[in-house]
Amino acid sequence: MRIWSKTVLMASAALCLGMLAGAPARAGEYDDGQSVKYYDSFKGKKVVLIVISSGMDIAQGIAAGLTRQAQDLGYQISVRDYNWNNDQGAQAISQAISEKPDVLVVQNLDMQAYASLFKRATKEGIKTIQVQVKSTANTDAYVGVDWYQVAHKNISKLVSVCSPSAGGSGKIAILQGTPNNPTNFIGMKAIADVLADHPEIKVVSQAAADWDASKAHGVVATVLKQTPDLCGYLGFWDGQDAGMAAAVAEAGLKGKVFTTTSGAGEKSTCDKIADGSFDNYVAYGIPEVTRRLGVAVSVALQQTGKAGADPYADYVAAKELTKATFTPDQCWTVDQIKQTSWK
Amino acid sequence: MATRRGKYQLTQGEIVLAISVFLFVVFGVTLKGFLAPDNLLALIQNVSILGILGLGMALAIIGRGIDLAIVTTMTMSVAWVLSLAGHGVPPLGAAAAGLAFALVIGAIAGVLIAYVEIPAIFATLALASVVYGFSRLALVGEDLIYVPPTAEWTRGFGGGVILGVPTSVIVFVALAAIGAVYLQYTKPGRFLRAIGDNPLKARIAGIPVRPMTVVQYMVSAVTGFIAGLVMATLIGSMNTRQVNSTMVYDVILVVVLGGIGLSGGRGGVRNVLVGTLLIGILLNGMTIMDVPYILQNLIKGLILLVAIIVDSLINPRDEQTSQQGDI
Repeated sequence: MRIWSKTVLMASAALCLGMLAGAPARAGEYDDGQSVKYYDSFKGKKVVLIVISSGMDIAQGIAAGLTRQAQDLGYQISVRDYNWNNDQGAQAISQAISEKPDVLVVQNLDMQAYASLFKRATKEGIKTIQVQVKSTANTDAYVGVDWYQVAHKNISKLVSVCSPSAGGSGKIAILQGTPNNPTNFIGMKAIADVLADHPEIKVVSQAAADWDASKAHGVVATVLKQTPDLCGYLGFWDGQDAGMAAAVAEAGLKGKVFTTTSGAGEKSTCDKIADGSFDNYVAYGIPEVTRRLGVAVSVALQQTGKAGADPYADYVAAKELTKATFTPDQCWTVDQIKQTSWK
Repeated sequence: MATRRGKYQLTQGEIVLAISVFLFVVFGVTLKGFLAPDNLLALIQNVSILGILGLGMALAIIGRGIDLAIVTTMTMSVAWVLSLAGHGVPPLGAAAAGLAFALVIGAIAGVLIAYVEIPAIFATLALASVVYGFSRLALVGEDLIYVPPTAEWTRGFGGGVILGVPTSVIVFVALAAIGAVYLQYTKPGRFLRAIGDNPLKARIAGIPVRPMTVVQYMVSAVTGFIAGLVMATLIGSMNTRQVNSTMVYDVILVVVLGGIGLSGGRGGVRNVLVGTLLIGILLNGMTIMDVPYILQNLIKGLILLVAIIVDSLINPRDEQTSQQGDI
């Protein structure tokens, strides 16, 4: 017993010494002038990641990526989720600000909710990175897709397929989520902009389905019966649009009505391109978003400048997947992100 | 009550039926394609899940209760079924596990209400949170779960077509028939109405009020489970975020709109059908007209208000008609 406690004592003393000494503890390590400083800059640093929901594919991907980075580089990470509830999200951010982490990463649910909290975080000197949905307030970095481009790619594709000059009927339908949601709102703007140049395309319906697949099924089933010569259907989110695909298949129109949607590109939905549920799919490229988010975190941890001094954005190009060129490896899994190392 | 003042008075169910018929005629005349048999089937199909949930909710309300956990039960039990199936459990085994889960939830709700004597509205509200939290923690890891490719054959349950009729409609009609027979012709059904009308009197009359209440919530939980299976096999997925949606209010709306008083003891399957039909006609008509989202909600709310106002004008409440426990 006594020997044991003595060992512990000695070990902890050695540990303390090592920590005090810093770099010399790894005397054998090669230093190219920056590498040792690089690895040291993560020691004892704290990052808080606040995501929409621990069950959401995007959030799972991001959390897996940053957790792996924290393990590899040796910083501390705490992942919290607010379960789709902006009030809980605001509380989580306030709590995080009071803990004074070195970097705060937030996945927004809408554009307004946290704008003032981000300003406060910056004032407190916490470097803040937003991911996937950007608030109206600019912070140190935004990493994620450009929602305007996502919808732009989708509607451009649909126009090219359905235009009478391409042999389509020119009739399309849009399936909205909730019109005031930022991704929906920005997407509708892109659609309006593209359609302004294409008067030959007629939108027969733009009903909203509340991001609910069964409501989506109901709306699409009705629209398909009303417009037998409908050429294509555009949806805003694969989770909701599973209902759209089901209604199209049920009406025996799979392959006849061109369906296009967007989403995280996670394997379970992404594979629906292979079975023809979706003819076209614009994927956010979450592995890429996660990687670049990791870089943003790493840069924020290395640079010693003031928080909010030089905000930048890193828009990740959304990937267009179509059945003709589809291979299963275009979809991602959380495990795959977990296994991608940072060291 | 219908002949209380010596003349026939319309009930709320009849008023709503009249509004439905009116809308049906107006849409039929003005909207191209509304009366097509295909569209009418789609109309019923679109509200069949709502209707099934309405049947379960109606039983709870007729027994002078309410089941605010019905949407959570439906969502989480079926999400678990899909999750199990995704991990290689045979679909039927997974479904059996989900059914057992739903039964346990219903039994807990029933015991809390019947034996611990917590008001149904609080017991089921709290239970819904517990069920959601527990399932997310222990049973289901994702927000959105798809029917796995290995269980694709089960899609026929809610998404198939038999003799031109969607299976979801068939399930709804079958459950409505069972519900009608249960309420009208079986002893437990008659007991349920008696309990809802006056629980103390029912107990004095020798009806096992507490066990019956437990059974009532188990039945509504299972109804929710069946609605969930129809939904999952129809659209190929289950979204657990549905728990936080206003769906449970839509279900109550269907029941109350049809004329089942929240004070219990009154109404039957017919009322659920009438309420479901009105919502179905409205949704279908508005989708065909491509009415903007915000306007749709406004119209839905207005129609409900009109139905309630007309009812309270034609059947004013007084000491004779109001009862204790009326909300």
